[in-house]
Amino acid sequence: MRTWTAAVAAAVLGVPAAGSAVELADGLLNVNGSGEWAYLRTDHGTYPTSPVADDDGEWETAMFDLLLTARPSDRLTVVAQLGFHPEDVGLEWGFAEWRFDDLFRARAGKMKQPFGNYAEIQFIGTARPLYTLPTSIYGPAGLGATAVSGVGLTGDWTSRSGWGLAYDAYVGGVELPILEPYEVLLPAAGVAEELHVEHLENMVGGRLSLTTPGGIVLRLSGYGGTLTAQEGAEAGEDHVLVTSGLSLFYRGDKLWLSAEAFHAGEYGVEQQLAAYAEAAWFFTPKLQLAGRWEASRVTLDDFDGSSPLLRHDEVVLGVNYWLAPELVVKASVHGVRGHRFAAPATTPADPTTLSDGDTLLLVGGVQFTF
Amino acid sequence: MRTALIVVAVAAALLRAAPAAADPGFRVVVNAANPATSLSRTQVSQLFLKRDKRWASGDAVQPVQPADAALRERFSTRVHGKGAAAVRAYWNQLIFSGREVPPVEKKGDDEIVAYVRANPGAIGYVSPGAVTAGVKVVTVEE
Repeated sequence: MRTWTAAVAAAVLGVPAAGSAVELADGLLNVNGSGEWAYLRTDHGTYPTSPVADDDGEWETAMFDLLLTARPSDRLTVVAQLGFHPEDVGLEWGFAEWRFDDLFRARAGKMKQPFGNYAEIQFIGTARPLYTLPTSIYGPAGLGATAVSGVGLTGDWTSRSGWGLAYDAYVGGVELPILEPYEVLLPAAGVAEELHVEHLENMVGGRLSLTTPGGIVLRLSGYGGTLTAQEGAEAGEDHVLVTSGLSLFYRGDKLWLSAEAFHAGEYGVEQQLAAYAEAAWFFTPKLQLAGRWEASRVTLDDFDGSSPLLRHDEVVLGVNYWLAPELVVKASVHGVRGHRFAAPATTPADPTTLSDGDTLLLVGGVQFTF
Repeated sequence: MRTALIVVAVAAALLRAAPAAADPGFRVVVNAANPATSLSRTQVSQLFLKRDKRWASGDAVQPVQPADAALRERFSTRVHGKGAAAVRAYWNQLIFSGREVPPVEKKGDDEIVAYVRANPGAIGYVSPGAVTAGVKVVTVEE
């Protein structure tokens, strides 16, 4: 067992005893954490979350994040998150926020990207019903990032009857994780592209959220900027990328819902449409069943044909056992069709002749927060 | 006489069946200087979820909650209309997006009362038998 896996396992065992976050000086400093460990297996090939999968399509994943929130004054908040991942350890994001009033709070630094339902809480397993997030939107699709480096404004307002309105606006840049296996379909294609990061600069974005008195949240998110391709057939070229979408989110005692649809246009290169719907139900306070459907479609300006490298369809069924609200054991079965994200077992010499294939993914793991 | 006995019996049965003012299993307390004497259930919910951050006076709201899980469950179900686990899920979204932290937590009724007494904007809840000297108990209306 590797050191980081052992550390996460130790943290998991420690959570029930720890109970809750560490709070110092009446909320002047809060220390929270989140972590997870999982065993995953595919029937063949790889999956985007499997950079270390062995030849049998098996792999483990683990991570631990520590969040520090300091409030030295009523107006100033400083937040930083340290990430301990198998690949790296370091500051994931950190920013300072100055509150003029509840409607205007200015932020500067490396902030979580306010995008959709899950971008800000993508490493928080207890905030979602399935171990993995929808790959079509939160995977290496180039739609959302972990953090925005720049400045922003945020604010919220709630009526006495319970209606809430919140907004985020930001400028800066992000690093987008991108996997584009369909690049091999293009006339000028070289070798197949691997998972990499591209920089979106001159970025302007925002999110508007409406909360009903019953707790249903509707969101409109979007951003635009200049993307400079680092690899592949378009390397070195600048393109304008505009991404926008709608989200619905609900967390009740028994029912959890989340549904989103996003469109991304990299003008002159490609268009991408991705959507998912996810629902979960608590049959008892500890036993939860969950399901998700998702799909992604890519169209290339320079390729007219059809290929499974442009498609991803996935259906997931999961069962969770909540040992505590902050500690959950999850298992799920994923059926995938298409090779937008799941690599084919074998690739023909002419990639345009690749036929549709199915991939089965099994996930079992533990997620916790404190 | 027989009719009178029947009326008395029916009245007694109805009185037994009629719910007394349901005991919520907690009491909401604010600082003695706070002019509020009653708050709506929705208002209390918004204050503890930090969706309403200012009193009418302009003072910042400083909610404080007990560590007692059973007391929190009673309060959460009655005031927020959902269990403590669902409320915890709400806080996880705010905490880990760097937006807000949950109310300050204190171990017992005495610590809650002391915190509310010391902070003009504070609001907390305590068990029904708590000693509330120096703070004001407010009624929670539907």
